[in-house]
Amino acid sequence: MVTNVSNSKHGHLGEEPHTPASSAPSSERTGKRVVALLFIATGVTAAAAAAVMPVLIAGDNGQPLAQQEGAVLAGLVAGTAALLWFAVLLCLLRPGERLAADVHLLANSKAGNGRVDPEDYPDLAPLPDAINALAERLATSRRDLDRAIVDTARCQAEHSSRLAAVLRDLDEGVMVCNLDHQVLLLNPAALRLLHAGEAGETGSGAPLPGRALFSLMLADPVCHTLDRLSRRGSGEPTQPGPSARFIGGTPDGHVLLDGRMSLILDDGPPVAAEATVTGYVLTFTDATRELAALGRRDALLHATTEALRTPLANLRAVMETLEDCPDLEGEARTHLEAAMLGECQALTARLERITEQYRATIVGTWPMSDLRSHTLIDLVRHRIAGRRNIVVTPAGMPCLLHGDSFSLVVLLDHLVEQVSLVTGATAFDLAADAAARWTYLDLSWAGERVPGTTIDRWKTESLAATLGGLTVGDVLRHHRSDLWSEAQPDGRARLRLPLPPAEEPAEAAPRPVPDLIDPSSFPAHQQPPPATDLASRPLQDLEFVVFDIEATGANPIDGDEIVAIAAVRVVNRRILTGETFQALVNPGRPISPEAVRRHGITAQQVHNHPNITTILPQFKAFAGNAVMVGHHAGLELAFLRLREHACGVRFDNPVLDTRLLSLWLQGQNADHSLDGVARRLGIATIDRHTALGDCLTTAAVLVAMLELLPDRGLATLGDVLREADKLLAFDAKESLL
Amino acid sequence: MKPTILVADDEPSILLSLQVLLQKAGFLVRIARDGEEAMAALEESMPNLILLDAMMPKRDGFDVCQTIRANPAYKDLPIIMLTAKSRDVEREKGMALGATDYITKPFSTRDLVSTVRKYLEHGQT
Repeated sequence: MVTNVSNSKHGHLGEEPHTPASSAPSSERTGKRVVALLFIATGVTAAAAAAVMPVLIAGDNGQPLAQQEGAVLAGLVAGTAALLWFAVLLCLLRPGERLAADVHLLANSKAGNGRVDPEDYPDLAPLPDAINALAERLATSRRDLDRAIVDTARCQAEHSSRLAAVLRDLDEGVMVCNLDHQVLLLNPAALRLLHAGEAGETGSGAPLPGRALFSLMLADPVCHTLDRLSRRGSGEPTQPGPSARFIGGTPDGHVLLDGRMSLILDDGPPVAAEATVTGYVLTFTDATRELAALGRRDALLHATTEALRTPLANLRAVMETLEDCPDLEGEARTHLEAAMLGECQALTARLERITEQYRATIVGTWPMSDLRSHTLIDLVRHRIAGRRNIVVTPAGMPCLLHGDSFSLVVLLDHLVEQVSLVTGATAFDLAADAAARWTYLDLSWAGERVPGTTIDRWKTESLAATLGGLTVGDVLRHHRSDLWSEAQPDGRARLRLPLPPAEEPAEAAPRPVPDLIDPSSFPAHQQPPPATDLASRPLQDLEFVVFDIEATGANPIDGDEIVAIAAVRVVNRRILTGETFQALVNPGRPISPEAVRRHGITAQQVHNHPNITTILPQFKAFAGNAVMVGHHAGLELAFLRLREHACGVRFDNPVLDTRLLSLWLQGQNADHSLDGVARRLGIATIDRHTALGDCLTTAAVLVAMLELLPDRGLATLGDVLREADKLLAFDAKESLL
Repeated sequence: MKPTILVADDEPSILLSLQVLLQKAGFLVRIARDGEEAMAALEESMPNLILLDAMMPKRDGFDVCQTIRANPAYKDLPIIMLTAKSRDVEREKGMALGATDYITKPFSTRDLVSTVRKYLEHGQT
């Protein structure tokens, strides 16, 4: 019997049941039959001999006694043979059969720790011990093999994850293809560069890995390069990893690619033999801009050299003619003089064009990217902090612009210091203002504007040593920009720095996010009239905290909880982007899929964050007694007020709802969603459907409305709240009807 | 008899200047404002030398030069190409297509007149 070392039940080795009887080889059965036949033949022969022997000894006159003795002897011999057969069968053949079955089990067992019990086969000793020794060796080999497989798999998984990380972080697109030009592997950058979208969501609907390469990339350059590399190897050993550069493109011709192809060679053949190409790796970058810039540089070079030669030749010829022929008179002289003037004008115009092209080329070659204005402003603020008691306050609506972040930060730092030296101002606002053609960076202060001659002098000054001696003017030129200072109302002045707007759109087309809010469900912010002094103060003088809440769903009464709160302070019609509140909150309950689609915050993102009892008091401390402003403030407030008691805080601040204000300004028929209102007021939105992004958009809406409301007769907070109450009452009636 | 120079260029200023200067230097001057006019003028009567601008409308100077050289009758006619193209390869191309000399704009008209004289006195060599 076989014993499993870890599981002492007999005969259970591994998971594969083995039935030795049914699978006993036919040779074994044949062998047993031969042994049995041999025994029968031996027995019959011995019995016959025993029967005949007495008769032969008795001679020719055989006696009956001798015949009887012969019969008895024959019977004894036959009986002995039969007994002997049974003994062999029981002691050797049957145990041998069982032992063979056990050895089969050992050989086929996956457990690998079985052994044969020698006590089960006492007559076959020392065969079981020999088999156990063999089984032990087999088990050891199997364990080594398993360990090697596991190690190899782990090693391969590590390599794969490292490779995946490298590929994911690469800015270059990478694709691995087979010789049928099917994509086997590609990284996110490849998807982005080829404008192929997410896997499986492309035009043809085929998932990207496995998809035909030539639906993503022009076939000819790839085939040509592959052919070139393959031919290079013919007749001589193919060098490991041969590669070549090529210029490719997307089939729609919109993107030019600077690519490199490397062949994947079969590892198998010896060094001397010609290696087999099994596929290729493509790495590529978007060269559209570089090639366009190269083209522009080439055109510029042409313009500055060859294109100037002709007018210069004309001019020189005319002047030399006039000089060599002083006595030239009449029509010829008039023509030549007119030609001289014409050529001078043509040269001037050409010079202007060259200058313009040069500027465009400089901008095209300086490393620039899209930047978030508030990040840039924050960097400036931190760089200046503490120096000469200068304080820079970030203000305005965040937007995107295009430039070189580092040189702009150094430039703004320098400008703040220069303005401070010239005007004596120490408190500055730094804001971005997105207009149609430019995005302005405005540095403003209380005081006089800076004279133009002073700014012209600044342009020749070198910036910090870190910029390699670049001057203010150089940085401005690289950004195709300029600087000027102008007086502002309220005794303020500003320095304007126009910058190119972002090249990428601020936001992709708005996601089709269903509005979770039914405006009529939460008209809940009817509020007691504010203190008289607050109610009578002009709107522009109030301090506002614009806030936005994201939640697990849209129904606070039925248990939906807050997952994120963000807020920004607005003072003197300035959005103080440096004074914001942002917190993620663990809601202690699942987040509905609709809500996740809307704000993108998942349970995993919030599960390590504090719960609302921690966050709400912090938020109240930030809000203080400011007027709180929200778009659909009713719903937002419902979330806050339902948790007031549990958190030990009270939100009794006056509240403004920008949706109600929009309703009051535009009437019932306009689009009063936040996107609709922002669009109408010409406010570019970024990071919509994030709590901070939404509240910055709401803040910009509020600032724009603060300009409009006094002209429409709402000058104080009291005025606004009275009209809001009327609108709420009207809304309530409408919903009843 | 005065040698005849055919000047082919689409720039009126240089055309007029060369006409005046070459006439003053003692040559007869015929002018053409594009490649086709140059070929027509050539067929009308053979000049002693051609000053040929490379970049002209209708047929460029390289094409005209090649066509002239294809005709054995004009085998020894000196052709001086005038061009704003300054790259070595352009010069190479002009010479390969049969130009006797290749002068890059802007040039000195005095040097040009000297060069014209040289080729008229010594032929293409």
